[in-house]
Amino acid sequence: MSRAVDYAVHVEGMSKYYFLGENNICAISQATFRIARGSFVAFCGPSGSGKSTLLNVCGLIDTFDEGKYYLNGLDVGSLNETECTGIRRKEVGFIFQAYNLIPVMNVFDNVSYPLRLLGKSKSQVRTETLDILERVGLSEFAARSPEQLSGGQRQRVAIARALVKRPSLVIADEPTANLDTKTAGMIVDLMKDLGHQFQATFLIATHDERMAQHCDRIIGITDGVLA
Amino acid sequence: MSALALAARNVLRNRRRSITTILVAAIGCAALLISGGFALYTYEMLADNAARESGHITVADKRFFEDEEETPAQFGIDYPENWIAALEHDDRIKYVLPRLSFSGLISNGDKSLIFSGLGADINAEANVRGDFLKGVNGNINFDKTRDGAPAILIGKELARRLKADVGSRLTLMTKTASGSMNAMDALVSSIVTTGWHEADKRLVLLDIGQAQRLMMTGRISSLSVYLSDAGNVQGIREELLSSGSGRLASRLWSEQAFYYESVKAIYDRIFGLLGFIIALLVLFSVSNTLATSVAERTREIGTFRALGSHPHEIVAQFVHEGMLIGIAGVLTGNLIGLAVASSLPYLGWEMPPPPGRSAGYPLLVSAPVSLYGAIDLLIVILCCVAAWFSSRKAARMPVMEALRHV
Ligand SMILES: Nc1ncnc2c1ncn2[C@@H]1O[C@H](COP(=O)(O)OP(=O)(O)O)[C@@H](O)[C@H]1O
Ligand SMILES: [Mg+2]
Repeated sequence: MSRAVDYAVHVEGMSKYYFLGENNICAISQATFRIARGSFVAFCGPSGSGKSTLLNVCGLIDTFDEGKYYLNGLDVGSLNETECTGIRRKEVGFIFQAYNLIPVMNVFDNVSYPLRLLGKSKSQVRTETLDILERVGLSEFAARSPEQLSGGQRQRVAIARALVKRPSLVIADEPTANLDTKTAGMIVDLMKDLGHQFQATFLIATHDERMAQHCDRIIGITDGVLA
Repeated sequence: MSALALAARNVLRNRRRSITTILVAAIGCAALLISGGFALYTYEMLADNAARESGHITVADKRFFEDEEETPAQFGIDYPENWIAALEHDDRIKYVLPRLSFSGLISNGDKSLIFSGLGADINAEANVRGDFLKGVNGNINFDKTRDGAPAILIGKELARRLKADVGSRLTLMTKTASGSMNAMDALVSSIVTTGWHEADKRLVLLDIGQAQRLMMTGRISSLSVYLSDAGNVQGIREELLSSGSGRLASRLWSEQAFYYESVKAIYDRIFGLLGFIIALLVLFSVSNTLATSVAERTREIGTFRALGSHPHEIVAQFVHEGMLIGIAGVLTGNLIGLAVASSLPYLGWEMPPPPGRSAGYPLLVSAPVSLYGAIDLLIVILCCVAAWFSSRKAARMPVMEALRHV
């Protein structure tokens, strides 16, 4: 156990199956890996290889069937849903392919939402939200509705939302798949930059080799098996 | 952004659907207010009716309330003139009306019918009974005698059966207090109606002095006490009994209002059931529309869950929306209810007579604050329950399932 603490993510022999009638799909097969705190890691593989499944399990929004998973040294396989939700609330940020911003909330409200979940004071919420908006270059857009923003801007809002609470782990599933190459490059650089500033561990899923080049480490995955 | 502001934005998101939901709540609210207000008005009217007939407090000999008299005034009390005068000085008491009830036969020479007679201060009785003692051809303006003979008022139906009209000479025959028979010729001075078909078939009214002469007694059957404010009836009753003689007993109007009680029992059930059905309709249709918006926002629910919201926090968000819809619904519903309540008096619609009565009554609805408060609270709670009910499942589904929802 004590050694597991040194890693942000420590996975031992993890498997996950989808049971579809008579067919059993093994989405993750006996995965074992350790990820150092603050690193920026890409899981790279073709569509259907199991990247999303692995990241969802690591982000505690999905369950696994076999093996062990230590998040910051904590054996999370034994936690119930309420406890997992509590950990997500404090420790995990999410960046989705489709941004998943809340349309009825403006940029400020979207970004500050995780802070409000943590019960921070109004002034704290305000300072921290404005700070992260400045870091992603969207200070002027605080009052805008997400619908008024371009794809790249939306993803920057999502990055701000994921990082505003200073999580130890950020899950980004194909964060640039909906963006043009130039914007995609800028988004990756921004994530990497902020990840290093905030000492957050980034797990990124991508099928794009070029994007993976920006990362500290690339883990290949094919048919649920890690390379 | 506060939870309520967020809820308001979400309610406004699909305006047309929200307006439909609000209208459902509003119509349900208005339906409950109007039917409840109608029931309350009917109760008030029946209570008023009962109190007008018996007086708020009836004072009589104890046995008068418990036994049937065999001879007139058998359980009567001596005419307590001084006591009446003293009571009438009390500001809280409007009238103290002595009554002497008896029965016998009334005849037009060819035909005799049973009558149920009441000796009383006729003009005062007409005054307190209002619509429940009305002249068929205009106001009752009673004189004890007419062309030298004792004057009587008779019920509409009795008049029809005896082919009597104003000015007809009729003969009253009755047992006296001592048990012998006595008769009296009288002239009809007015034909009256109480609105009660059965009562109008038998009713004969005459001055209480004339009735005492016919019955050969100085006693009266009972005293009917009418108050300025019926709210204080219990307190005044106790004072009354302690100031009168020991043999006296009293009944409140409500203790003798059997018709009021039975109609109220029926209406309570009918309107209770109706209210229950309306409440269910509101619950189901509001749940239904909210379920649609929950389904549309399942992916958002997944996003909130991923960010660390607990299911109960998601449900709370929808309950806030339900509450806003409920509040908008009751505000609209109250406007409809008040508009109906305040326009009915101008429309002058009549309800058909309730069972046993010959006269209809105006279709009016009461609008007390307590009714509005209770119904409004009920509707808002129903909307919150509907929101809780329709968001509970989505809020608890596995996060990935919610996120994958299309
Ligand atoms: N909810 C699901 N039900 C059944 N099978 C699934 C589900 N999600 C993913 N899979 C299957 O698991 C495998 C891995 O999928 P996924 O993790 O989405 O891969 P990737 O993100 O690399 O495209 C695929 O074969 C996919 O069909
Ligand atoms: Mg995927």
